[in-house]
Amino acid sequence: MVLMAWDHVSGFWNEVHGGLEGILKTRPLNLDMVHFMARFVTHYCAPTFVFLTGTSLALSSARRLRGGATQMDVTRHTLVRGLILVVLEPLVVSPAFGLPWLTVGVISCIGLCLILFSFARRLPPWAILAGSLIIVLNHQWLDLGFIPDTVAWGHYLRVIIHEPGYNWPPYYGFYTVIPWVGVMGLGYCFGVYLNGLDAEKIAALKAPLALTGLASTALFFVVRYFNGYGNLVPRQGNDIRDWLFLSKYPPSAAFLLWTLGGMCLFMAVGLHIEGRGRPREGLPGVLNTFGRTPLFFYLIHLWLYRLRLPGVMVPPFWLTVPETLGLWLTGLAVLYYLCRRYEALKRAHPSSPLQYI
Amino acid sequence: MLGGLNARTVALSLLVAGLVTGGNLWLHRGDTPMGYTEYNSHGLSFRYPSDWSSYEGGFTDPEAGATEAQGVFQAVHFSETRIETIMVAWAAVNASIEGPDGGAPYVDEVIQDIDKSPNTTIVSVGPHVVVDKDGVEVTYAVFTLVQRGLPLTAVMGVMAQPWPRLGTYRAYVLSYAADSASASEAQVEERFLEFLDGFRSPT
Repeated sequence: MVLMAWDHVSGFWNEVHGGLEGILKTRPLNLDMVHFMARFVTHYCAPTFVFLTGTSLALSSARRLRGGATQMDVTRHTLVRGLILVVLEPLVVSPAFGLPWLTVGVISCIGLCLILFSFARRLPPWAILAGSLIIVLNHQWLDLGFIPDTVAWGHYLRVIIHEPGYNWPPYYGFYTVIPWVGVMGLGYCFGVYLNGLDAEKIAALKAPLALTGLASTALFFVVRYFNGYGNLVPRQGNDIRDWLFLSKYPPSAAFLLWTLGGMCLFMAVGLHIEGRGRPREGLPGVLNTFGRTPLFFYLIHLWLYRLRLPGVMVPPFWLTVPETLGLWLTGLAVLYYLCRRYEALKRAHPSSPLQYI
Repeated sequence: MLGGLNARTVALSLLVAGLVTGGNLWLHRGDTPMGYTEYNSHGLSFRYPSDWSSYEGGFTDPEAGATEAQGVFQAVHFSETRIETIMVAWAAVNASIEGPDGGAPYVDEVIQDIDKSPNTTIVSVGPHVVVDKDGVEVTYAVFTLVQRGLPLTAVMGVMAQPWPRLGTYRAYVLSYAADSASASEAQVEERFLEFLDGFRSPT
């Protein structure tokens, strides 16, 4: 989440930022190394969010069912949560980025996936696992040619399903349901797996997670080396940027191998820190606070870092990278304070609509 | 037992996903890779990145269109940080271009023609290299030039293959060039060989 905040503060205040990722299977003109790497390190955010949303759904659904809720209750709760996310995108998120209200961004994409999962979660876990793997590994061959692209509804449907686009206002979209619903499905299965484990067994996942992360990263290099399957943006040379320049919109298999592999490594590190017994102190404590209020953090941080009125996109001046780092850290301190206050408020009103945010 | 999953069902899921992915890889094995466009005309086929601009025309007369007998295709990538281009020109010839007296003089002749172009100076020409392409000799040389003040590194290669439809030969001039700041001579040669590897002609 703090990496995502860096991504957005850089997007709002650095002249060179947007487009430094593979979009629509093309590579941008300017690949300045500093800005490229500053953008690249933030690629972990979206896959981790989507994956952990699935994990959280599995864990919270099981908890609610154990607490006496019916399957219908859980379905309704998940459906409402998904709808709220879909509505929050045009109301809060798109205006922050200066994008048309119909833009499908990460929040509305997660919302759409949650809506699908409010029903799909009733499928057997093995079917969800198989379906998710098939989606993630095979979406590059998905052909939506049967949906007309010359009419607005058809174009927008393609944008929502699998073809990111921003050339027909207001039908913009960056996060397509396919393959992100597959990433959420993998996270959901991970959550189903965690449901069967006690605290000791979860702590013991450190080594398997580290191994999975390393294997996924190694597989990423294999996929990039062969430069065929799994690369929606081909590697055009052997410069570090050629290797790391990946298709994010839509995410290629290479992109997901790198980012989800990195996520597994981060989780192994998290378990290691937790094993040392002080996860709520120091930096881990700050990160945990953000992690307990993810949607609140997301919605607030956008407007906090924008520091300008709605409708004003270009800042009065551009910041250098060190200045942007200063703004980022200052913003994180403010966000830490706000998230703690919000968490206390949410705890004081457990049955209020705050539970959805 | 892994929560709602067990080792058997996880293995089954992996097997199903593996089979579907394997099937798709097999079904799409001949597809143009994502991000590339395939030129497929006049009996030729080769691939170039989709975001490059392309031009096709007559070999000797820029106003004329490409034909089976002669033509030229060029694709260019031009940005603030990088310039790259590939070119394929073809023309009917009476004999193969092979051996020490065939390919090398042809390559030199083409490079000398480039030297005569306005605002262009050839700086250095490397040794001739001969490689086999599907049983046909391809002779090429790496050279450097300055065009309109911009240092470029390029490879020029020639080959000729029998052209069964007209009972004669067709000569191909294949070229790859990049600005010298973004690619070394070794990288330019490597990319030329990759391009040559994907080049297909009528035979």
